[in-house]
Amino acid sequence: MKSRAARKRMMPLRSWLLAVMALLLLPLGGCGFVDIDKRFFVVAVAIDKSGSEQKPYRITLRLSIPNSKIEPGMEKSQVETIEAAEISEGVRRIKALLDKELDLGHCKMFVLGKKLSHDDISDAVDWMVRRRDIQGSAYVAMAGSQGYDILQKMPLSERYSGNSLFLTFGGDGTRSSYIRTEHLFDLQRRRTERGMDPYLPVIRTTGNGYEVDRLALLDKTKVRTILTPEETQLFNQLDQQYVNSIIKTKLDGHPIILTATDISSRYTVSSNGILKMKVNIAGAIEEAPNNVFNQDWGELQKMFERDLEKDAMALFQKIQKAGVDPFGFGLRYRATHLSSRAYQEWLEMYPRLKFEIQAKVKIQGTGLIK
Amino acid sequence: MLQRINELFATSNDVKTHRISNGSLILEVAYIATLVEENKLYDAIFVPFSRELKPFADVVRSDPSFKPVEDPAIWTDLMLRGYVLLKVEQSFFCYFAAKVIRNTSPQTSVESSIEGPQIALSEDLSDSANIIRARYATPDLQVEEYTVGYLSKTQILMMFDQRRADPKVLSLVRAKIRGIQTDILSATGELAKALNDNRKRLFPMELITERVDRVSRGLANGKVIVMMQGSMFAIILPITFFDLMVATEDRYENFWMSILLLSLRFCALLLTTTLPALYIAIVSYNPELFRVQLAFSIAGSRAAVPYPSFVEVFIMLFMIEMLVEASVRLPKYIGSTATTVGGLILGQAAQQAGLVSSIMIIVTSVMAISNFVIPVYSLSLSVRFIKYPLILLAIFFGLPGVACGLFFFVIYLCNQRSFGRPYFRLILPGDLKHTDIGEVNHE
Repeated sequence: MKSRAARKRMMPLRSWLLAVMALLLLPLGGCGFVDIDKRFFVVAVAIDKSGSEQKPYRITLRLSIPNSKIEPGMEKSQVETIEAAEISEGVRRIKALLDKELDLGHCKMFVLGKKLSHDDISDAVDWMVRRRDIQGSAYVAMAGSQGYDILQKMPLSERYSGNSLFLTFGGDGTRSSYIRTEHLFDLQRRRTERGMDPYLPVIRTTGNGYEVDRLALLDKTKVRTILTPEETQLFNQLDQQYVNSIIKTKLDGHPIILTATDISSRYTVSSNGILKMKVNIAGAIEEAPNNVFNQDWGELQKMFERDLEKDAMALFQKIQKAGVDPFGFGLRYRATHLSSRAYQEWLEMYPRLKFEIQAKVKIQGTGLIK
Repeated sequence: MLQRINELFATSNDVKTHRISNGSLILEVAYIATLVEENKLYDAIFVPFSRELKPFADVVRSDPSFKPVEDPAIWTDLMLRGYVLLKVEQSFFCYFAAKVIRNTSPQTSVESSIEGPQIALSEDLSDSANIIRARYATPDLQVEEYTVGYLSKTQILMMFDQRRADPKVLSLVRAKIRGIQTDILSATGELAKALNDNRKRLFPMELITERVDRVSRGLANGKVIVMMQGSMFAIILPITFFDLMVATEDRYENFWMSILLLSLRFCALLLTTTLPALYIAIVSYNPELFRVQLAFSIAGSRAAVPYPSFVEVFIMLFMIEMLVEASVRLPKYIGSTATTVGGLILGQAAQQAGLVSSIMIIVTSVMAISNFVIPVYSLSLSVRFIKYPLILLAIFFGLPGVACGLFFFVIYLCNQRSFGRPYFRLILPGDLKHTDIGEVNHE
């Protein structure tokens, strides 16, 4: 046993060691310490095909310039673009053009150019998924033409840069039945999952801002077909039960429009190659000829049902013809059929799959009090 | 006797010794004039002695307020505590005639309450004991007396409910009080420190209170109350951490509001400890944690600040700690001016001068205000300290550092024992006499 004095003499050594160890901890923080005002926040990234052989990618970043006073239209942002052989190389070369640290942490918008999407999105999505500072909840979309044009466009109403796109896809702002949001995590899931294919909303520029009402359907790597706005809405209704959307029919040449307030859709895929889908829609009439209240509502409902079945069948057949599966029918088949060859069976079955759609529409009111 | 006393108190002018005679009896009296109320002396000793309606020797023997003193060694002790020494026919007596200067009719001032009892404990032990006895009228209330301090000879009172208090805690406290070695004991905080083995504890292990309702509630819950002469605060022990977060009013007011206020206090506790550290960690390491709007507006408001975020935090913390300290020490009239000048003008100006960002002003004031929400002063002091280690961790390790630091504090709290009882637990078991999980018998 050590004497008290000896232990006392030991103490300085031990505290020295502790102090040295504590000092060694300090550099562990590394270069992570960068103040918020020394960072350049990227709000959107566009990846295009440049067309050249050596440098096939064209990377565009939209950088926000922070302003202490936030007013609509006061927002300034900077767009940097570069052509590079690889995406990561391009981003690093853009770093050399800037005076502050590039921060992708707030980058919630990724726009893939039309050419790239029709060619192969694998490399681009792979890069997004791998980077640790890109959030899985970022939105991914396809540009109507060049991703660069989308980023150049700065809508008048923006309070801070990128806000228009964030609001469009985030569901905080506009809620449109024509917009289908695709998150990065979901895109990656659809890219890798067997029996489910990815899709991307299509952004086009207009006079004042953006127009997002189409959906591009992809196989695992590239765009196969693009849905029209009506088809996109129907896709949202059938797949996500998207309410506040509309269905149409015609009565003696007059359009009648029903706002759906309640949608349910259910389907089963049976192994004999038939997909049965039941759609129930309830809603109020929003636009109709004046005398609609006195019409036979049962008749009207039948008309809605007939048109809905027809449209849905057309949509399914279009998707089937394109050879893609954005609904995830294949995944459902795999989940409900106990066989190690289920996916194989599905792949063989899908081109010949028959659809049986049973729609039921209920008119809850005409929107007017008699 | 008188000769001996004169030797003991050789140079004290206020030691009075008299040898008086009424013809039949010779009385020797010794006392310290400054400690003794001379009126009492005349009423009890000099007047009956000179009139001699009854032989004074009989009076002394029959009146229980005259206590016989056998041991000459405690003469000085007795005199220093305000006793008068008497020698009547070769036997010695003492008579208590102390004059105690104290705060009159004490009102709660440190832990004020709106509808709770407004009277506080007194600086005089007997008054305090009186107040407590009046509110805890049961024969189970036991009082033990000790004297601590070689020079101050401070009287200490330990009160407990003998049916409810844990005997293990009692013996531990007794041993601790007997073991105190100090010259002067002048405040309850000092006593509380002396009762603890570890002076470097981060959190208070006992509750110091002036509130009578807290004391009587504590007694009913089997706690031990330790009070000292000359301080209007009592120590309640053992406690749990959550006792420190409860204000007495929580029991008096609306149930839902009390729950809300209690949870508010815990939020405030979390905010006041972590907010500056989180500010550094988020602003300098992980700005993606904010919403985009906030990130941009912070970036905008920080653009003028030339220093890194932690220097900014230190500037503001330094200012706010100085302000709090200044307003505690200053007289009441100047205190409010100091806080106005500091809080409003300095904060505003610092932001306009580009020394700190406007968000930092908010962070600092939220931190300071939430600190004041904590109902017990000693805990609020501890909490004021523990944010600094967290800030250091935030500077070097960012968010993971803060998370680890908080984790460390939770583990540290779990490891603490308040007089052998687990400190960081929600509810003490109803039956306090039986052993408890994680109980340690010897500290």
